[in-house]
Amino acid sequence: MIVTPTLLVFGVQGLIKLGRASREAYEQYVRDRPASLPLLGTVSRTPVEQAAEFFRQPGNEAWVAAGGTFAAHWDADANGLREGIEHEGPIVAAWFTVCASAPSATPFEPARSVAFLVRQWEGDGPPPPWLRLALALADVALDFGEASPALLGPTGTSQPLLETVAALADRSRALLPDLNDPDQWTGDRWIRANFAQSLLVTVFRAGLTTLADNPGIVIREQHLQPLLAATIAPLRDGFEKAWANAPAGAQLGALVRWESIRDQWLPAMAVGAIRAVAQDRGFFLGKVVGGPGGSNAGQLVGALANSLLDEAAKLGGQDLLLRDTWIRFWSAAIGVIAARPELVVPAGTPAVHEQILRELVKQVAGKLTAVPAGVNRALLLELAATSLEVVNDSLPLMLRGTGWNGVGRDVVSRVIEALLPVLREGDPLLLRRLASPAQAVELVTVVLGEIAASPQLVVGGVAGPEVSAVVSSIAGAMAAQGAELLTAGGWLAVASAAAQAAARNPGRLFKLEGAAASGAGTELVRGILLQASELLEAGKPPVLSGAVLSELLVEGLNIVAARAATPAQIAELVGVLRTLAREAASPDGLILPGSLPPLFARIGLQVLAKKVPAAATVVQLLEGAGQ
Amino acid sequence: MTSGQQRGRLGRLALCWALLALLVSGCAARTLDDLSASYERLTAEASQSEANRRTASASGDSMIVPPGANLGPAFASISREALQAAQNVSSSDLETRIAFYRLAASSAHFALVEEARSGPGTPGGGAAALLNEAQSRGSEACAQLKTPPQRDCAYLAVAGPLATLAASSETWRLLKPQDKVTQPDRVRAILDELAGDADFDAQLAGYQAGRQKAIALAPIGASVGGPATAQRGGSVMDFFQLNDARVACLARKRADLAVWAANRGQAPSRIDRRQAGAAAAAAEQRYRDTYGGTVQCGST
Repeated sequence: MIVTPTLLVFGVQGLIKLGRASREAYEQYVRDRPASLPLLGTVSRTPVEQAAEFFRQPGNEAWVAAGGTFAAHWDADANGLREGIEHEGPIVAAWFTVCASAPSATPFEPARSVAFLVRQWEGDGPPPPWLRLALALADVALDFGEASPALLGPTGTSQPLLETVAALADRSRALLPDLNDPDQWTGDRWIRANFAQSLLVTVFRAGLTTLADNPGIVIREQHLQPLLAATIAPLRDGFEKAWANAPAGAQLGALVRWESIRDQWLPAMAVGAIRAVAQDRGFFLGKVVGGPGGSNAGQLVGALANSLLDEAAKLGGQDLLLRDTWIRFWSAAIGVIAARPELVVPAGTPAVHEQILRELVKQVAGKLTAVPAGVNRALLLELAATSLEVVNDSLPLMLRGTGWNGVGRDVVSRVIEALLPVLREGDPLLLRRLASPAQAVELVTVVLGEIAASPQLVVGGVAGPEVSAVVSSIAGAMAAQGAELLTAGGWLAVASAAAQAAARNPGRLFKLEGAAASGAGTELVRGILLQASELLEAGKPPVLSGAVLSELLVEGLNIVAARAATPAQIAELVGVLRTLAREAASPDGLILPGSLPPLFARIGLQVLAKKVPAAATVVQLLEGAGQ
Repeated sequence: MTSGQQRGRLGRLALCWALLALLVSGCAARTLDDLSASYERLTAEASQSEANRRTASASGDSMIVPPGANLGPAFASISREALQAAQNVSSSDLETRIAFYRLAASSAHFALVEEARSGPGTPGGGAAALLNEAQSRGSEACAQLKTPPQRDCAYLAVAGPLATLAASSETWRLLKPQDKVTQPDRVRAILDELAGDADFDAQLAGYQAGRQKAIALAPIGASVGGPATAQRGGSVMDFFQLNDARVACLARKRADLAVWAANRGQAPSRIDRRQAGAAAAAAEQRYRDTYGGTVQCGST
């Protein structure tokens, strides 16, 4: 509730009216509200004391009772450790052994026992670095133990993940300081070491979440290790750099900022990476992209992660939608890299590949940054991610190879450029025609799916202008006069037909803005929509709307895809439609509105073939169509 | 000066006096709300200080924990003001008066513990006197009510012995004797300060007696009503259960220290190891009888 001055005054006045009752209520509130009462302080326990406590508990006495394994250490009268002998080593070691071999172990109890074991050292000075990491990872694992017991244990599906994280911690000195050297984890170095450790813990948690949510996923350490290392390293490097460059006194700020980036980005990035591994393990088994001397999976993912985090550092903490969409883009890009790396990175060396991936992210980010205020940047980015995926899914498999070098990034760029004009603030016409942003994504999916399947349209490492032309033509048509007479579903059907027509006739039907002619497809769509709008404005029944209009547009696109048409002939076709529509709009006309699409398809072809004059009467047109 | 101007001047003067009187009366007795806020802020600082001490203790560099923040005088000041404010409360409003006594006692508790750690903050060790006064006056007020406020009266019943136990254990409860003793003289000094068996048994008995009175006021397991809590989010029962567990842990810690000291020839002469063990076992047994389950000192 927002407290306004008026509300405040009202409240005080109300309380004054209540008088004594309100005062008593207030006093009672003050008296009875929570208060901190003193507690006795906690005690510190040495391992020996804790071991003794364990053997004193009901159920554990047999170990120290007469005849028990550790009876020599126990004074039954004092119910404590025997005086005069050394307990430090033997009793603690025995205690650990007993705990670890508890007969009541449940399937995930071993993990809990281990955590219990190592935790005992907590009270005996700072645990060594390796133990701290183990504790932190065990903590995460135990969180999942209750809900997903199958995940844990030596044969659990999480084992490869844990092995991966452990391997990253142990083998990669570049990521973590020496886990066995406490000196590396003290002083100022401790904060940096701790940050690196937290990256591993975050990845582990994200990984377990992914495995718990997708029980079918199978991963292997050797696939996962390079990928996760590449995902983590840029974050660690970014933090190190910020730490080193921060002026004295501002280093804490660097830590906080990078912790925030870590928490906001890393989990989802790790999930995306693990899913990519699960989908295409073959790629991560050391496949090299770009021929001998090219990049491996880790290098590519590392370059992408670097670029993404550069953008992350620029984003405000509040821009959650855009952040989530960038992560979507990350997942899509990794998926494409894994499945068809040549779509994103052509032949070349790791340095070239890194540059290309940086350019991809930079290009997309640059376009998003440049869009006018109010444009739905998250939607544009979502469309970019969709474009990558669609291109990946739709390109003909037989044409995999150098011919597709880098075409993915080109398509992404063209889609954003094409849609930008119709997503402007205050007039998001594209979204107004579609029921939801999801349908905008579907529109891009439909159009690109058709186009990418046509090799002529996407060649030589670049997407042909047809990609932009079709997308922008359809988007433009959706924003044109008369477009409101079509449903969102109808527009998707029209978009599909337009893309199919374009794919069959590259470079003929749709042309970019600024070309001498906009293309027969574009002209016809505009003309039909204008007719629909004029009919409505003339007070006629809206026979050109909804499903009929949608089918008419599809049929019109089929006509121009089947037979070349000049601009003059397109005008004639529109004129024919006007004649037919007016007749259908007449209550006792010869044409039923529902039959307009098939009639237009037949008559249109006759007109283009000059078998029927465009200026013919309705009766002549119908006769020409064999009616 | 005209008579109108004179009247206006006199009027302004009267207003100033009235405002001054209000300010003075406001300073003379702080409200329960105000004092409670100061107290809660101080306890938050004390908690942080305690956490720092535990961290330092866990570092293993030293067996002796460093002193905490010097908050004793501030706690003592709140205790004194609360006692004064309680006197100003109408005799018909005993609940509010009891709340002031509760505040005075709990503030004095923290002051007393800090005195045990670093010496009296005020000449004559004023915290103990403040605590005694708060407890006795508070318990007296509780006895006058047919249905006394459960949280405040239950705490006041146990406030004295609880603070005594806390103060007497303050120097050794974080002691972690290990093989690598870095400050043997200091350790020996602390062990020598451990209360003798008779004294410690008396402290335990005092706590237990207060505890019995508290149970009568706020029966374990009974609904205590209202937002009365020991710690934020807890209940009166939580407060006593936690303290009962820590009492048992303190007793056990003391017995363990006695064993450790004996094994290294540092046994404080006044402590009988068996008697200390028996006291610990009795405290653990009382806990089991009351709540079921066992005392886990590692987690308390």
